[in-house]
Formats: sequence, structure tokens, C-alpha cells
Amino acid sequence: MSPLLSVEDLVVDYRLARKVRFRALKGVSITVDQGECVGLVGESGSGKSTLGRALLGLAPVESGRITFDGQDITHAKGAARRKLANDIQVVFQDPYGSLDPTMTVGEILAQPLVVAKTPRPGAVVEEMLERVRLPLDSVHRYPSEFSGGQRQRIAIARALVRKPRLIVCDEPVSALDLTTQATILDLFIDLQRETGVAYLFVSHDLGVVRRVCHRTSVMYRGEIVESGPTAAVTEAPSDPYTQRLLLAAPVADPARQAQRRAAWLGLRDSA
Amino acid sequence: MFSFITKRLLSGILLLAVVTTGTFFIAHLAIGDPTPGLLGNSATPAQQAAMRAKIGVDRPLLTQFWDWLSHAVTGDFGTSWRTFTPVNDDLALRLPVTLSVVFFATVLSAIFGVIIGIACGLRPGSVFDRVLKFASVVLFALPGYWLGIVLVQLFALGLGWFDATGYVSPEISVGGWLRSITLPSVALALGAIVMIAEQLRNSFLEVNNQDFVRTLRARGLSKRRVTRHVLRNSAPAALTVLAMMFVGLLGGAIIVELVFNLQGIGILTQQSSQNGNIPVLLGLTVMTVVFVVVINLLLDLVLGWVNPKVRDR
Amino acid sequence: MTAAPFPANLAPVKRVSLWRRFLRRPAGVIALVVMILIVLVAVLAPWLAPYDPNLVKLRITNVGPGGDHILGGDSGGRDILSRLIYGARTTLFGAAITCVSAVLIGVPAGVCAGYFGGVTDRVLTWISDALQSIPVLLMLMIVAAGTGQSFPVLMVVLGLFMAPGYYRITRGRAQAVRKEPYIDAARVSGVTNPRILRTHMARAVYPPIVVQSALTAGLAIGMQAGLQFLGIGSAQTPSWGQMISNGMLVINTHGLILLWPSIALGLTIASLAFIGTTLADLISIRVEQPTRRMRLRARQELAKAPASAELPDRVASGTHAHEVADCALRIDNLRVGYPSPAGVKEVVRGVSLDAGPGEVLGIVGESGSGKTQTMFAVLGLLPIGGTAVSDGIHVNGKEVGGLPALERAALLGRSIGYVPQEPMTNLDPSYTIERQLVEPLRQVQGMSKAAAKARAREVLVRVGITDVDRVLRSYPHQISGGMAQRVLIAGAVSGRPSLLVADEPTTALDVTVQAEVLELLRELQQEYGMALVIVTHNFGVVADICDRLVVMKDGRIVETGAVEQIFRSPADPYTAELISASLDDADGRVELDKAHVGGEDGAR
Repeated sequence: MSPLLSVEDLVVDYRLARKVRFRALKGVSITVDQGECVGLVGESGSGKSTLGRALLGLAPVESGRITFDGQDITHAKGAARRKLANDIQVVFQDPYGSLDPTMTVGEILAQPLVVAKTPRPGAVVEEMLERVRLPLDSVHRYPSEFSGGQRQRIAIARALVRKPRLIVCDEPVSALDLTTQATILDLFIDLQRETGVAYLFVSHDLGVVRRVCHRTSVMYRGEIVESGPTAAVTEAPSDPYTQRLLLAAPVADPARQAQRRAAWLGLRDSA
Repeated sequence: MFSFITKRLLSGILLLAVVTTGTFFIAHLAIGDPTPGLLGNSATPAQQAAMRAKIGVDRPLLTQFWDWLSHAVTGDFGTSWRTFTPVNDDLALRLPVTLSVVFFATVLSAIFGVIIGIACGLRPGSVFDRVLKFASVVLFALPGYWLGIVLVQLFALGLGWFDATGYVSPEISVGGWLRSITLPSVALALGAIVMIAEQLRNSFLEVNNQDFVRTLRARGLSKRRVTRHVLRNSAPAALTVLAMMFVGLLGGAIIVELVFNLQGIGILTQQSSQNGNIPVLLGLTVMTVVFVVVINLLLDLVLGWVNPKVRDR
Repeated sequence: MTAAPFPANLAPVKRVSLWRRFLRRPAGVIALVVMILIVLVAVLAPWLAPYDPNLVKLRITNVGPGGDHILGGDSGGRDILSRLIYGARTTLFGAAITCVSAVLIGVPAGVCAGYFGGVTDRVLTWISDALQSIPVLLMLMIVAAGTGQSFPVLMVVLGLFMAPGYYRITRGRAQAVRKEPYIDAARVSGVTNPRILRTHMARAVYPPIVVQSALTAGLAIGMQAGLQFLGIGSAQTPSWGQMISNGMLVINTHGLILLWPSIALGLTIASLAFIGTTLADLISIRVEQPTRRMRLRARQELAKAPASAELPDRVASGTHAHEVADCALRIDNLRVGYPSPAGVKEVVRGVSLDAGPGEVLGIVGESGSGKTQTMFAVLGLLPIGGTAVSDGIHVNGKEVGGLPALERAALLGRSIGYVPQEPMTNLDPSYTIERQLVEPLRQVQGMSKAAAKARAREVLVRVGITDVDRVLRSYPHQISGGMAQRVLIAGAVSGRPSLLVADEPTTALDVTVQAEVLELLRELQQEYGMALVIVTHNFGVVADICDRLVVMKDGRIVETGAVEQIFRSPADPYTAELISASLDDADGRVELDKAHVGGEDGAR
């Protein structure tokens, strides 16, 4: 079976100034299967978010190929891109900036349905609010009345209303408190089981990726340095950069952290 | 830094070219036949035709433009259609008056605007601060010429401290010069002072809330030292307003000069506008835009010096 | 399935519309009422005016108020009141033309420039700047030279010159909004560009445009009166500017003639200005400056007699581990509050903690727990309006909480060092790194210029910066975040403090940089024997560096203890929840899926 999404040798250049270009992606390949969660881990500037944005048509693709469901969508524009909204959606990091503060939650959730001329958008909105465990009277409220975690639920509901087959999750929990983070991650997992949607899950946190992703790729300076089943990548990495990344993340256990730190120091001093 | 200045300079020259070209055509199209304005309505058609030939408006517009432009680039703005003296002479006679008033007003607004702005920024919410807020609204509501009238009544005619009207050249008497331009400058500057003060106060408070100010305090720097950092960072906004004020003051001078009966460019503008004396109007436009371009260039230099990020651009 | 701890019902929130809030401002309401009256007068002029404004009666020339002519007659023998009333018409009509044309030109241009950027933006901005650098009055005089009688044309031209005001505002808003993720989200949802401009953009730029219109109308009215004052415009149309100009001629004999139109003009512009500034205050996010009375009240509320059985909330939370004299830092029953309409909003509600010399104390909690506020109170650097009261703050065994502000500030940079959270915003963008390191050394430590420079290099080398010379010469925007955080740490320890407080020092950094910075903090802490108080939300950071731990929730301490002991057996359920939320030992996706399938099988 061919994968739901496949990215081949993707190159993205950002123009910084008139003659200065920054190559954010240097030939990246990745696949996502139906109903699967694929993690993309890296530090700032690694290009992980750029890859997500390129899939959504929000980053300038220089070369390479993005195929969704057998269709080449690398340079989809205008009506073709808008049609993709049925299949590909997004959840962003910032739970404050990703919802228009001047619209009610009802308007926010209905917007993707209205532009697609879906009949009876109200019913779909209510169904989605239930899905993300928000009270139905939320529709009349404004985003500012909700906490960070609740807003992220609204953003997830918006991504789900068109019943897409793939959601790009761009650091969806990194702006949240720890306890909220855990419940939102569980929500992502539950929704995936209920709807069969696939996730491309971008994060800087190996712990988060381990929790939700089946497979994981690690990015460093615009390239994928390691890919594989999440457990293998996050517990016994083979690539030196992934090893450093893993050892650098402190673990919430003083004794184990002391060992990890010693290992990290050894790796650092040997380099 | 060098390319930054070149870029600004080119932009200024382009501005000058666009504005003068635009003004030339707008003025000619708006006025059409200037002879009734120049000769009065009683002139016979023959007299008007003779006048048209004399000032050359019977030629095609583009020819006139080329003629004007080729002289203008050498600094010659032609002769006045009314007095037939060189426009440059008219300007040379009147500019010192206007520039005296405008520069003095600029200096006044800079000094008092900065002092008041800092005072309010240091103590937001104080009585002084609230007075500034009120004053900014009131002065916004009172046109400069009205203020001028009141000032003349109060300080010149009532108390006799300053000259009510007229201009004294500094070559004749520096004291007399100052006395003659103080009231018009104050009338002109009052509005600008509160604008600059308010801008500086607001950006001062904004900078004061930024993280690095807390860090500077946490290093143990004295209040005076911290204030210097805050000021340096709130300067660009206030400087930009000051440069914009300069343009506003040049315009406002036209009216204020009328109130104080100063023989500056104000009255010249009014007369030339009434007569349709296009060469003088064009000369005035070029002169003002040159001043604005120079001021903006100076501003860019100062901004580049104050704000290191500008230099890297 | 995991039960999400989530409230089924949301607390009802009282939404107050902008209109309602406007009505609560006396200045705004008065101005609005005045403005409405003026508009009514203008609209109803033919019915209100007692005489034809152009009717000349020589009998009333320069006659004072009273009799048939309530405000008397002007020097041309015309009824002043009637001319004033008709003048309002002229004035408001002109202002409306100017505002409408300025909006029609400036707003679409601003939205396009801000949203599309690039060449569109550069060209439009250049034009806007150009328009702003031309003296308006001069241009109007030139246009008036040909069309002297046509006031509407002049007001449209004035509108063109006022358009940059709208352009700047809408462009700025549009640029800000374009970067918001919700615009990207709308695009991904299949929303077209025109629709984004119509919905999201229009909503975002609408409030500032209303404010700008009030100010523009005021400016336009002033400018219009100025033109009339200069004799531009039809003599047949009564106008305030013309009346002022007439009044000026007879100012010494009949001052009242000048007074009436001046009052009308001033009142109109002032009410527009007050409406504008009131609206601006309401829609801007600018925090209102608390008055001294509000701060005083907040302080009294905070200090109110604590401790009674019914108010367990007023008792201090947390425990001390050391004697007062042995503490690098000790806080007794600290409360921090901010003035609010209700009196005071407490963000720290009775916190007691301590740290011994050379000890590393972690303060952990989620956002809103009051951990950062506690630390700002220790530094004596609470944000504007913040007030702290306590039973004592001791630094190095000495009580400092009650010291006057100046003596309190003298501790900073000497006894106490501070490392902030966000490296890039905590360096002054206008000065070089060298200047920022040297200045405190000279002023606080009283070093000579040369000694301070040498010390600055020395600490930079110590914090692991290799190309010291380049960094010293650099401005903050020229170095990376990790580098900036090293510079900030260097600055904090350069005065050799005995207590270093660090506010989430690694949160803004990448994981690999975080490890380096933590390592550096540990080394410096041991080398200088400093007590380190580190505020964080990350239990990994706690496990890495802390000796003892304080867990905060909603402004109170829920648990204090040694790190090993708390991790082994947290006494408070909230602490346990926080530790388990860190996912380190949580099941991975594969285990979760297995458990899920297993669970379903079991249920069948």
C-alpha cells in the first residue's frame, strides 16, 4: 500500500534579503501512513516546522516532491490548495495567536465549514466540541475567556471539522503547562483512535514524541539525521546528534539524571 | 552604513523630483489661464494675450516644463509673473524670516518636549502627567493662529514684553531679532511641544516595561543610569515625531506669519496663490521639500547612531 | 481511556462591550454629547438659525449680544448666531469629506501593504512617506490657486494628505495580524485571500481606524478653518475660519466677535479629540497606571491582620530549614499583590522559604503559581503597581525587607545577582555587550575603566565564550540566544554575589544549550560558593541541579523538602501529579496502543 503522504528530497529556501538565501530544508524525505503518527524532532532552526509548513503550502518549495494520496501537491495553489483543506489541517503551537480574538468560538469552528459550503455547520461544530470535551455553550464565547489548554482544544476542534485525513501538529503542546500538556496529548491519541486521522507531529521534546508517535525522524540543520520506530530513536539512538539531544534532556529523577549528566559530559568532552 | 546613507539620499532626490514635477503639472492644470489672476478681471483680451506671450504660457505645457526644469536644476527658478524679479531674490528675502521662526520653534519644541516628556515618563499617573494629557488635547483643539492672536494680545499689547508684529534682522539687532520671533515661535511650538512630550512619555513608559530594564536594575545600576538606558531606547520614536513636526511647522508658519505680519514665505504663498503666480509657488515648493529632505536625512543619521540595528540594514 | 481533568462548565464571564465601557468615562461621555449636539445643530441649521446668515443689516454692525440678535452682529452687519449655526454645517461637511477620502485612500493601501508586503509595501510606504514630507498647507494653496471656490475639492486633497495617518496604522496592524497563526490556519482551512482580508483583517483594523477618524476629523476642521482664515473659499458660505479672520480685524474694539467662532471651533475639535483619546485608551492594551491611592489601598489590604482559624489562607505556607543567621536567603510569610478594582489581587499568598549558603533551591510551579513574583519580590523589582509585604526578607542573615528602597537596591549587583528567562530581551539593544558588562562594574563595584574591562573579559572567558573580542564588540542582536544567556550569566556573577536568583534560565533555550547552561550554572555556583535560587517549571531541571525544592500552586507553597525525598515520595498529591506529568517514565505510544487494544479485547 502506498503511504498517505510522501515527501521526497524536499528543498526549501527562505529569502532573507535581496541576495541572501537561507536553505531551511536540504533534501528531506519522509512518509506518513493512514492513521499513523509520525514525529519530527529537532532544535530551533532544524527545519522541522518548515517541513510542516511546506506541506500546508506556507513555505516556498525550491525542489522535491510532496505526494498526498497519490496526488502531487508540491506546488498546489489557489483552488487546488483550497480543496486540500478537506484532507490536510493544522494545529499550531501558540494557543493565543492561533485563534482570532475578535471571533466567537462558534464562528471560528464554523469558518472552515462555511467556506466549503457544508450543510448544517452548527451540528458539526457541536459534534466536534463534544469530541474535544468542551461544553457546548462555548460557541458563544470568545477565545480570551479560555485557558491555554482549552484554546488548544478549540484549535484541535477547528482542525477536525472538515474531517481531514492528516493533521500537521506544529509544537501543539510546548506552550502549555506540564499537566495540561499530558491531557492534550491523551486527547490527540484518543482522537486518532476515534477518527483514524494521521498526524505529522512536530516537537522539540523527545518525551512528547515518545508518548504519541509511532515513528520518529530527527532533524538537524535542515536534514534528517535519523529515522525509525519511536522507541528505538528515543531510547537507543545510533546517530551522534540524536544521542547528544537525548542525553541533554534532563530526566525528572535525580539519580538517573546524575547518570545521564555524566554520560552527556563524557560525550561533550570527547567531541 | 555608507550604503544606507546613499540609499536615503537617492530616495530624497527622487522625492524632490516627484513632488516638483507633480506640483508643476497640478499647478498649471488647476490654474489654467493665470492672466485674469495676474492682471485683474478688467484686462482686455489683447492685454491678456500679451501677458500670456510674455510669461510664455502660450507654449505647450511640456515645453514649459522642460524650460523650467532645465533652469531649476541649475538653481534658477525663473522670474515672478507679477513683479518680474527673479524668484530667487524673493525667496532669499523671505526665507530668513520663516526659517528663523521655524528653527526657533523646532528648538523650543525639542527642548521643552523632551523635558516635559521625561518628567511625565518618570512619574506616570502624577498630577503633572495628567495635566500634560489634558494640555495635549486642548492644544490639539486650538489652531496655532488663534493661539498667536491671544499671545499677541497678552504679551505684546498687554504686557509689552515682545514686539507685536514685524521682523527685525539679526544683522541689525540680535536682541530685537529674538524679541520679534519669540511670540510667533511660541505660538507655533506649543502644539509641537505637547506632541513630542506625549510621544516621548509613551515610548519611555513602553521601554521602561521591557525586560532589560529590570535586568539593568538587578545589576545595581543607579536610577539615573537606568534612565539613560531607557531614554536612549525611547529616543527614535521621539526623533521621528520631531522630524514630522518640522514639516508641520513649515506649513503652520504660513498662517502664523500672517497673524504676526511677518514678511516671510507665508504672505508670499498667500499672494502667489491668489494671483496664480506659478513660478513663485514652484520655487516655494522646491525650497520646502529640500529642507524636509535635509531634515529627514539628518534624522536618519541620528537614528543610525542611536539604534545599532538600523546601521546593519 | 484517560479521564481529562476538565471542568464541565465554564464560569460565567461578564463581557462588557466597548460602548458600555466608553459610557463609563466622564470625559468621553461629555465630549460625545457635545459632538452629538453640534451635529444636530449642523443638520437642523435651516430651522434653528433665526436669520439668513448672509443677510446684511447695517443697524447691527458690530453690535454686542442682546435683543433680537442673541450674539449680536459682525462687522459686516450679519447675525453672528446664524452664521455660527450655518458655519457648523460647512465645518462638519468638510471634515466628513476629508475623513471619507482619507479612509478610502489610506486603509486599502495600508491593508495591502501590510498583508502582501514585498514590493507593494515598499512602493506604497515610499508614497506615504513622501506625502507626509510635503507641507499640506502649501499644496492646498497651490490647488486653491485654481479652484479657490471649490471647497469640496480642497477637502478631498486634504484627505489625500491625511491618508498616510490611516496607512501607517492599518499597515502596522495588518503586518502584525499577518504573522498571527490564525491567518495561516484560515488559509489552511481553504479561506481565500479576499475573504481573509474581509473578515480577519477588517476586524483587526477597525478599532484603530475609528480612533484615527476622530483625530483626523479634528485636524481637518482646524486645517479647514486655517484655509478659510487665509481667505480661501466662497465668501457666500458662512464659515468659522472666516468669522475668526473677520473678528481679528476688530479684535481691539469688539473682541467678542472673535470669541464666538473660536469657542465653536475649539469645542468641536476638543470633543473630537476627547472622543478619540478615550477610545484609544479603551482599545489599547496599555495597562492603566495605578494611582498612588490605589497602591496605598492595595498595601493596606495585603498587610491586614493575618492568622485566624477561619482564614487558613492568611497563614504562611512553607517551612524553613535553617536558622535565620545561617541563611543566604530567608522569606517569612511573603504576600505580593496588585491593585485591582476590588482592592487587591493577591498573586503570592503567604510564602515562607529559605536557602543556605552554597545551597541550590528550586521553586517549581505551573504558570500563575506565583513563583516568578516571589523572586521579583526578593529582588525588590516587582512590576509597576506590585506591592510586597512580609514578616521578613533576610539576605545573608540580615533583614532587608523593611529597608528603604535605596538601601535595598544597593544589594543588587553586590550581594544578589539575577539571571533572567528570555536572553534576547534582557540585553539593552542600543549598547554593545562590553558597555553593558563594564558599566555596572564601574558604577557598582567602583572599578577603574581598565580593571572593569579586564574583569569583563575574564568572566566572559569563564562562562565559556571563545571569541571574547568579537562578543564584546557586538550588539545584542548580533549574537545567538545561547550566547546572550552566557553574557547575562557573566553579568550576574561579575559582582561575585553570594546569592544568585535565576528565573527559568533555560526555558527559552534549545535542549542542548540548556544542558550547557545548567552545567555552567552548577560550576559557577560551586566555584563561588553561591546560594542559587532557580525558578522553573521543569522537573528535569530540578533533578539536575537542585538540592532542595519548593512546590508552589496558586500563590502558596504546597510542599518543601530535599529533592531526593520529594521525588521518591511526594507528600502532596499536586506534587505527585506534576512529577508524573513529565512523561519520562510514562508509557510510549507502542505500549499505549497495546494496552488500548488489550483493554478493548478484555471488554468484549
